[in-house]
Amino acid sequence: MPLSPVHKVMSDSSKGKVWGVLQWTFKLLSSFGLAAALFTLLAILVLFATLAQVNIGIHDVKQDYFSSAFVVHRFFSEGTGGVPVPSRWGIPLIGGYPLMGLLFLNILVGGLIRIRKRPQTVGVVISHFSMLILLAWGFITNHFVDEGYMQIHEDDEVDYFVDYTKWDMELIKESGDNSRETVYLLPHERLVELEGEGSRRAFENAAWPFEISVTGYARNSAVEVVKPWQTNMRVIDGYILNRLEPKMEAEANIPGGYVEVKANGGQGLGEGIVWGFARQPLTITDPEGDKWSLKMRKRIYHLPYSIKLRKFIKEDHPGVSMAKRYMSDVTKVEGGLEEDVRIRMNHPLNSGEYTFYQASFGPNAGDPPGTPVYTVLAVWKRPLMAGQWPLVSCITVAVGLLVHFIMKLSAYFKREGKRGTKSVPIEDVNTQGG
Amino acid sequence: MNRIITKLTRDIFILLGSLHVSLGVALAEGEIPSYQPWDEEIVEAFKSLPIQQGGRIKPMQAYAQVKLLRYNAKRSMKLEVGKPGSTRTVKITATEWLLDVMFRPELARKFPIFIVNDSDAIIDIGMEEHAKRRSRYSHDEIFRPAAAPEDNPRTRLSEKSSKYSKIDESDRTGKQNQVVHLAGNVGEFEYINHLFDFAREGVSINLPEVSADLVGEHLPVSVFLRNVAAIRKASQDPSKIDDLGVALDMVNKQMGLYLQTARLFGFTPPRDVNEATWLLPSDLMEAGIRGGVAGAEKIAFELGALERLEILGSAEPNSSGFKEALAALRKSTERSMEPRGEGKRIGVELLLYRGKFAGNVQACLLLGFLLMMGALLAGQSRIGLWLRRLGVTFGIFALALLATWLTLRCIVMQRPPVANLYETVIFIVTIVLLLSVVFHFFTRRPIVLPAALLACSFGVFLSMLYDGMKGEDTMDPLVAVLNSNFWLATHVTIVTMGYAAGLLAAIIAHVYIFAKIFGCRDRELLRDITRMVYAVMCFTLLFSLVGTILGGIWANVSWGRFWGWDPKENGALLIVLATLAILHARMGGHIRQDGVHLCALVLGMIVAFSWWYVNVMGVGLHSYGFTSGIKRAVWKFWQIELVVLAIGFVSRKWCWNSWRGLGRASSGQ
Repeated sequence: MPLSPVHKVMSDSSKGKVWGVLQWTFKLLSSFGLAAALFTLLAILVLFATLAQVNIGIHDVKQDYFSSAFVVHRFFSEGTGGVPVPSRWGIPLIGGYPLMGLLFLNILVGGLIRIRKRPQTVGVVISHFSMLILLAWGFITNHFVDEGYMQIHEDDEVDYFVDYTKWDMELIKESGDNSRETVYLLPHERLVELEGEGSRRAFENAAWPFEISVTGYARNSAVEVVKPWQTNMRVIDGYILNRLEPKMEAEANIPGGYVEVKANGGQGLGEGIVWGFARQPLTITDPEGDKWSLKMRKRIYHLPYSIKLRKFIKEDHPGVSMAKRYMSDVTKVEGGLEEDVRIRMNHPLNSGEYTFYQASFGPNAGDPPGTPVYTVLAVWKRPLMAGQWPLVSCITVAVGLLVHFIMKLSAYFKREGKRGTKSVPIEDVNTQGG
Repeated sequence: MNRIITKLTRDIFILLGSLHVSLGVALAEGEIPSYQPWDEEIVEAFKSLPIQQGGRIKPMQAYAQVKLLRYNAKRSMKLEVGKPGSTRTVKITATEWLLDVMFRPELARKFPIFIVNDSDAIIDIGMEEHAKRRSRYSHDEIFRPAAAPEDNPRTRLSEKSSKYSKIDESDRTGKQNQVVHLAGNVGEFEYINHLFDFAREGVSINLPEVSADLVGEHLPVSVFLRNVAAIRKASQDPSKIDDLGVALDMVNKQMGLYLQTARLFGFTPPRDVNEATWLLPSDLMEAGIRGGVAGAEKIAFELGALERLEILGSAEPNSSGFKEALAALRKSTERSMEPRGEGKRIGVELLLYRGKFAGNVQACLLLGFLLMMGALLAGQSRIGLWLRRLGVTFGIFALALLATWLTLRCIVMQRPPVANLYETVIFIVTIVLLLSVVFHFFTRRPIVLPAALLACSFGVFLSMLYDGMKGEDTMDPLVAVLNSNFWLATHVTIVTMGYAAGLLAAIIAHVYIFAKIFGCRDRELLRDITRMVYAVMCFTLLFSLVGTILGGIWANVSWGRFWGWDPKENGALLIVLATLAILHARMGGHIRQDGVHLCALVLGMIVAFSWWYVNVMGVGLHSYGFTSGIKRAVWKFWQIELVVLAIGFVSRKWCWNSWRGLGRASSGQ
């Protein structure tokens, strides 16, 4: 049906409005002003995030400032016992996600689409393109990368690596003949949501004849014998789970929580404290007589092959105990194939999606006496070729900026040259000004 | 034999203390009655004597300078020699001082070398303070005996220091820090002072039934070691074991002391060319005790090396015998180094010290600055012209000296000279000066160079201050992760050039702001200054951005992550972000001429944060070493810059009309 003249006018008007809004948005997204504002806000965010590391540690800073939409920067004062106490009020800041997301759009729209494509802007376009690659790479590594470490003693072979900070609760159904176990995980991501006071979550699974309730989960905690004055704490067998301040080095946190297991019929099967450093797991016997155990452990990632440490070598600077270099002679064992490799500082082993870096070694002062020599390799799993992106973008951004600045510089010299032919000798210039 | 060694190491500090007190009592009071200067040949030979210390082979002069600087806050010292009322001043170099400490120990203990900035620290350890709050104290003053041992200032110093050391450095008061610092220095001095005790004192033994050589006091240690096999043989006779134990008791104590005190640095390259660690005198003695059991011929190498040290240590200081012993030690060391390919750069290092680069560069920079300021005042006269030419020449000369200084350091260390804060200061000063000289010739404006000369002079002063404050060898080897010439040469060098450019932009901005405050209305000149700042900012962006990404790539290959939001990484990123914000705001017309300069000041403050402040935060993987005292200096710098920023902002309002005119003019660029 044809539109009436009134309808037509309204439609044109709304179309114009939409077009106007789109144009305005396009202009805003591509503007120098937005770029300058985003860079300034990012600089402020980075500055406060850097200062905050002194009090809350790098791990929390990454989460709170850069993997967030909004953050309040708080100032710390010294409380009782030298413990830093955050201020009640703080400075509100836009977090890393919206800022970097907007920056991506700004570079895309302003630096690649709207920019005038002329020979003079070639360098700028290249640089902007490289920065987009870098931002995209940052996003990917932030979301699709697993990182951890593997500790291998000499002559040992290991086919997994352990996360630095993520602790899962592991539920194992023990088989009668010890031949095969079934493992279920209550993942770190779900557990950390229960950190607040009074938070509780029931975990269920069709294969379980019970449900597991977790309460009082703490990222960092200690199991202690209850004291007479601790009357408001939940006590299990004379022990409490004491909630501790998270440590600056997040990998040093020991999590724990109270667990209650109830059969599907509502019958209580047991309760206990599940803690990262507990010597024994919490054991449960279900109504059918099957045994289950529950414990906290750092997240494990399995490798498609194993790494065997043949020898760890440490070389000190002569006469001092400062390491000059240290390296691990390892064998990568995959199927029947064995490959000997040396991993050392600044020379990792790249193997498919995995990269192994020389991180540390032991035994250290904290290890029990008699601990044999071991190496610690940092392990990263990331999409193939992702490791090369920064290098590519570094080269291209450098080329882009160099091209642009050389063009600018030559234009400047040309201008100066013209001016120089007209101007007076160097020695007399100042006298004119002064 | 192991039991003997274990026993030897017991009670050493008791013996050291008693030995010291006895000497201290005799020599505690008073001044330096006379001072015989060291023979020049001896000083030259000792200066270049190779030793292995702090993980590298270096000439003795390097060790002497660092230690004297640490204790005395100067590289040379002045002594008041003679009786009160008729004293004369003698200036001695660090090498001469070290010769005294090692070979004229009683005399050296009278030298007032321990600098104490706050006399409260002196009162705290129960000593009489000098008239001046900041003063230098001698070891004898600190070791003054008291009625009760616990009242001895040396004892109190140790006690207080161990108490204060338990407090975190950042939480200590100035006085507490002084006590800890003084205790460390005094303790280290005592080790140097007693290094050659084994040669001077030897061992006292009376075992004629074992060997005719083993009778007497102050016998050379090497004589005892030659007879270790005979002593062991005698110890297997059960009837003699008790007498032997009594006779060896004193030797045990003396050797225990020497095994602890004679271990500051290696004098002897080992026989095995594949063994990198040189042998300390205590290593020679220990090897002598262990290996000597099988007969003296098995320890001929160790005994030979020990004997050379004994001859030197026991020779009359400054005598021809001393000179010959020193020459023999040096010759033997050099001969041993040759097949090992060591010590090739000792000559270059000595050249580095002989050049006195810091002082000479500073003189050239200040002279250059003064001459160029003189030229400004002289105006268009012929004198003004010559003063300017001379000022530029001094600037170029300073640049040449800086380049030589850096090159020599590169040769000595076999790595780019950007691995610690001290080196980055020199490097940045060089880059700032280089860029300023280039700008001077390209822009034909004598504006940037005078300001840069003054700023560089401040930079060199800062490096000297830092050097004195740390009192450490700035050419020490690097930790494993930094031990990569490729990454030092690329990432660190490039990002440091970015710092230099950022600072230069701030320096030029100062010129602009002060030029406006002092009434400069030359629009052409002001516009030229803005162009310079803009160009330098482009340079800053290029080098900071590439340097930062390269740093990420280095982190990726060493730690497995490109970016970790570590303070040092964030610092570099801040410079990039600030430069990008300024350049984009400028391109969008959101800031104009004045705005660019005010922003350049902020950029300078960010560079100070990134370059210095992140090192004092005490967190993160990157560090040149956390350095206390820097935080206050950075705060002061920021305060000054905030004042300049405020002045610049206010002056912009005052000069509103001219600014508008300039703004209109500059918008047409």
